[in-house]
Parts: sequence; structure tokens; C-alpha cells
Amino acid sequence: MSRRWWAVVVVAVLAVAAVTVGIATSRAQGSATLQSLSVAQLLAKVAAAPQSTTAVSGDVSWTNGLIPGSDLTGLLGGQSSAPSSLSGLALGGSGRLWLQQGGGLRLESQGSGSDFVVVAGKDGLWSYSSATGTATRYAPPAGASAGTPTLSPSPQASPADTLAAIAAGLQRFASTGTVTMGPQVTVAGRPSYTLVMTPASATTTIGSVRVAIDARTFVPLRVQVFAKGDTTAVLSAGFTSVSYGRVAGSLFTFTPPTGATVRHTPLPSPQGLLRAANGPHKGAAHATALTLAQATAAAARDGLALTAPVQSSLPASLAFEGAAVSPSAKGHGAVAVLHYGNGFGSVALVESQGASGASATLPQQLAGLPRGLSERTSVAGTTAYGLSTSLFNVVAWQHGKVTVVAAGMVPKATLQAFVAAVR
Amino acid sequence: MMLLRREFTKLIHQKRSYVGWIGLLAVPLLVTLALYLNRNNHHHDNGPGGVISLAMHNGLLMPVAAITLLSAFLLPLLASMVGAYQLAGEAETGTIKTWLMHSISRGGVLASKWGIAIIYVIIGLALVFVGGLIGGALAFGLHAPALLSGQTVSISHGLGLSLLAFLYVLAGIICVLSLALLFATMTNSSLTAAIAALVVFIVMNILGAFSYFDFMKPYLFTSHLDAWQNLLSQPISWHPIVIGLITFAIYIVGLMAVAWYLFRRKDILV
Repeated sequence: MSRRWWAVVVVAVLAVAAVTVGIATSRAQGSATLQSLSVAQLLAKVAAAPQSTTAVSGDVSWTNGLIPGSDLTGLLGGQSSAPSSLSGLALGGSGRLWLQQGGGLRLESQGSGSDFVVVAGKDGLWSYSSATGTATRYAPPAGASAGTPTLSPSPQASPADTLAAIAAGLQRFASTGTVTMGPQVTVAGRPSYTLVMTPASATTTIGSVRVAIDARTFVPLRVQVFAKGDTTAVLSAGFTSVSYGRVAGSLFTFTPPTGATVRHTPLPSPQGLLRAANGPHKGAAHATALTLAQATAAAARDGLALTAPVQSSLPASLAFEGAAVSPSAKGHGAVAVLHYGNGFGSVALVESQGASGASATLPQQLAGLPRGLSERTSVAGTTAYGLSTSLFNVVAWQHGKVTVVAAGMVPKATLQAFVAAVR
Repeated sequence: MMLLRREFTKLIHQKRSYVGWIGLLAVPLLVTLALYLNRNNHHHDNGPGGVISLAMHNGLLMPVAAITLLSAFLLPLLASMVGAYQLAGEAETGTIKTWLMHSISRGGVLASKWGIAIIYVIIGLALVFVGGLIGGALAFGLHAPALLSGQTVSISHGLGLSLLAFLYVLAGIICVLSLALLFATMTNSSLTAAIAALVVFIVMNILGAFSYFDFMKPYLFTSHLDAWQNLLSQPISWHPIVIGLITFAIYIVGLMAVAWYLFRRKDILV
């Protein structure tokens, strides 16, 4: 066999292989121009999507650019000190998702050491971690019917009614942020519309929130959160490939493998979650915004001495907006939330009494973060611990027996100026 | 075929062959022992990753647990050693000159060297499989295995998946081996060739570990080495496995084509 003949064969094989991979990896990037739609028209079509699309499945991936050093964790892999399943979920990863209307939901997180499965179907809600061999069954909250999740079917309404309702909703939302149509993009190989939400506030760290919506099925395919002045998304989650074919029902069943540890955890009811967030209100008066004086008086009745920033020293964008006080109850002390500023540029000051509750342990938790993530500053003579990310900032400190947490989606300097006004 | 048989005779009469094989047999047994002694501690936060912890519940998956650890370093090391030694080793001892004086094609010589190196790796992988299975059976017993995604499959299904995983790893390791064989055509020192292949392997791994180099990832064969783990989640997503195999094929064909080109024109002086 001649030398030249061999060379031809080798080149031909390489060329065929390269073309095959090229086709397989890049796929056809359809760039046909889409019919132009208004924001309200697009949202109406999204609301109607569950009527025509009953199943969604595909590969998903998510990234989190909030915590620096994810590169290093990626390199070290399982050697990082964080629990492997958690770090995979928190720092970004990939997995698969199946959703069938009336059937259930299955979400798989994949990757070295971060394998985690969530199954919701007729067997209830389960999670399973192969790394620890633990299966957890979440019992439905008392009083709630154990129904299977659906693609939230929209209420029976005429398209015109829906459009009007959406337009009115957008109008109300305008003081917080504006929603516009973004460029047409390709997500998971599907031509998509982009909805862009831009905050109205000039002082927030949030640049925009972008949602890509499949132009044929109107199913949201990707959500991205951008920090102000940043061109790459800080948070992103979405499909990398998607299909709308029927999903086999067997995927929504779960039987714990033999040898797995089975745990039973009650799921908090939505009402319970709401109560935990707002506090167990004795009357409607507590839920509505209070003035600073009313809040101080209400808190004082529960033995909570409020600390508030001096209004004249505050940045102009952070005027007092309102407050809510949750009286002390079994399990936790009184909690007061003071609200400063508008929309996305607001800062919340949460003050809680006693050593229990999520916010009460925050200073210790922040102090326990690795150096570089947590920052120490001084507030009114005590040490405060801060966490700074490109999307939000948190500072927490102990004021006597009161734990004070200031947080907001505002730049670090703004939060520092706010905290400095607290005497 | 005759050439390959002659190579095989050489292989089984070399002490170094057995050192590698013993190492490959020892690793799954040691892994089993370590996991067995540590078995009461496996609910710790810092527990080992997915496949390895699966093997702690079921000895049937010990071979794939062992291959997870081995494919990171020891297997590529042995593959580059054996790949490099096949040609450059004969140059070192001066036997290749005598060999090439006979009326045999250089392409045939290269192919038989490549083939024997693959046979060496196959024997090594078989030892890992058998060693892992025996160790796993003794320590944790063999039962129907639970997969990463939580479903339980039959023993024969589990063995079949393990076998497919091993075949996939073999294809990936042949890339390292071909790389070493290519370097062996460029130098007369087997150590240089083996180290060069290993350096390329490690550099590719490092490039794959940083998100800045993400754009390169699809083109590095090293970033596809773990794709067999998709076999352990049902339903199996074949796409990454197929892409991995195509990538391996391109690397192997490309590397061997260059090796063949260089070896044909190489002056054998030693």
C-alpha cells in the first residue's frame, strides 16, 4: 500500500470525525428572526404555556459567582472542607430535570461528590444523596392535601382579561423596576425571547434580571442575575438542552435503596413559612407598616430596645419607609424589621431578642466564615461581621442582648454609611 | 499477528510488567480495606464522593470505585510508561536496530507496539476489576446495587454497567498511551517519552480545572475521562459518553497518525 494512499485515509478519517463532533457539539444555532411581541403579550403566552406544554425535561446547569474562589474549590474537588453535596449545589453545577404535568418532578444534581436527587410524585416528596446514602421523606404539612406538583395551570380567563391584568401588574411594578424585551437569544438550542427586568432604584447592586423564554413553547428556559456594570451573570440557572416529550411515570417514583438511611422531615406549610417570616401577628395592625415611634413603642412592650440609625446621617436614598414588629412568642423573642429606602435599593434592619432564631446566630455564623469572605468592622463600639458579595451586603452585630442585622442589595459603601449612622 | 505474539512473549518476560500489574491489583484491595476499616465513619460531612460511597454499601461497585481513583493518576502513569517503553525502551537497549533490519514494515512494528501496550492495559484493568470484585465481596458483600440516582438494579445489570465503565476508561487511557508512543518516536529515552506524556496529561487536567479555560474543555480528552459516571444514573444520558468516545477516537487516530509519520522517517542510529 502506497504511502500517499495511507495519508489520504488518515486525513479523511480525521476530517469525518471532526465534522461529526462539530455537528454534535454545536448543533444548529437557529437564528431566524422571531415575531416581535410586547412584554405583556409575552407574559400572557407564558401564563398560557401549561395548557399546550405538559412535560419539560432536559439538562440543566447553574452557576454562582457570589462566592469567590470557586475555581480553587473546583480544582480541589472533594478535598474542600465544605460538605461535598452542598458545595456542588451552592457553587454551581449541572444536572437533569424532568417535569410532567400531573406526574411529578425529578431533579438530579450531578458531578463528582455532589450527586443529589429530588423526586416529587405519587410517593410524596423525597430527596436522596448517594454520597451519604441518605433518603429523606418530606411529609406534607398538616392540613395540606398531598397533591402532585403541576405546571401551575393558569386560571380560566379570556386572553384579553389576562393581557389587561398583566399590563396593570406591570404598571404597579414600575416604581420597583421596569420590564422590557431583550435581544433574541438561543438557549438550550432553542430560539428564545429575553425579558429584562431593570430595577428602578439607582443605588442597588442589581443590574438586571434576565429570563429567556422559549419562542415556540413559551416555557422559561434560563434565569440570570447581573450585578450593576457586570456583563457576566452572577447567578444563572437554566437548561442546556431541553425536550418537551412525555416523561415516563417511573421517573417520579422513589423507593429508598436497601441500606440507605431513611429520614422523615415534616415540611413547613406555606402559611407557617409566612408566619415565621412576618412573625405571629396578634392583629392586622402589626402587619402594616408602623412609624419608627410606633415600632419603638411596640418593641419596648416586649422588652426589645430598638437601635435605629440617625436619620440626618443617612444617605439620601435611604429614608425610613416603615417597620413591622413581631411580639415575642414561644420559641423566639420579639423581632423588629425596619425598612429604609425604596425597591431594590432598600436596606432592612432586623433586630431580634434572645439567642434563638436564624438572625440571632448570624454574627457567629459570619464570624465563622473563612477569612476573605467575612469582614470585621466596628459599629458603636462593638465588633460587627460583614459579608460582601457583588449582589448583596450583610453586616451583623450584637447590641447588648439584641442581635442587629443590616442587609440590602446595595453596594458595600452604602451599607457601611447606613451602619455608621447607627449609634 | 505474529509480531503481536512476539511482543506478548517479551511483555510477559519483563519484570516491570508485573510491578505495574501488582500495583493495579493492590489498589482496589487497599481501597476496599481502607473503606472497610472506616465504614462506621461514612456519614461524615467530608465523606468520599458519589461512586466511592456507593461501593461502601455494596461490594459490587468496588471495581468502579477503584477505577475512579486509578484513572486520576496511576493508570495514566502506567499507560505512558508502557507506551513509551515499547519503542524508546528498545532504542535504549539497541534491539530495535536489529529488529528493523528484518523485512517487516515499520507501520506493522508501530501497530504491534501499540497493540501490545493496549493488551497490557487491558490485563491491568481486568486485574482491577477482579481485585475490586473480590475485595468488595469480602468486605461489603455483593447485592443488587443502588445507582447514583437512587434506583436499584439487578446484579447482572450492575456488572454490565461496570464493564461498560471499564471499556470507556480503557478508551480514555489509550489516548495517554498513544501520546506516550508518539513521544517515544521522537526520542530514544523511554523515561523522557513517559514523562512528556504525563506532563501533557497533567497540563490538560489543570486547564480543565479552571473555569477561565472552559472554552478549551470540550477539546481536551482529559475532561471527558469521567463521563462514564453517567452510566450510574438512570435514565442514562448517553450524549456525554458518545461525545467522549468521539473525542478519544480523534485523539487516538491523530496521535497515531503523527507517530506513524515520524516513525517511518526516523533514522535508527543506536
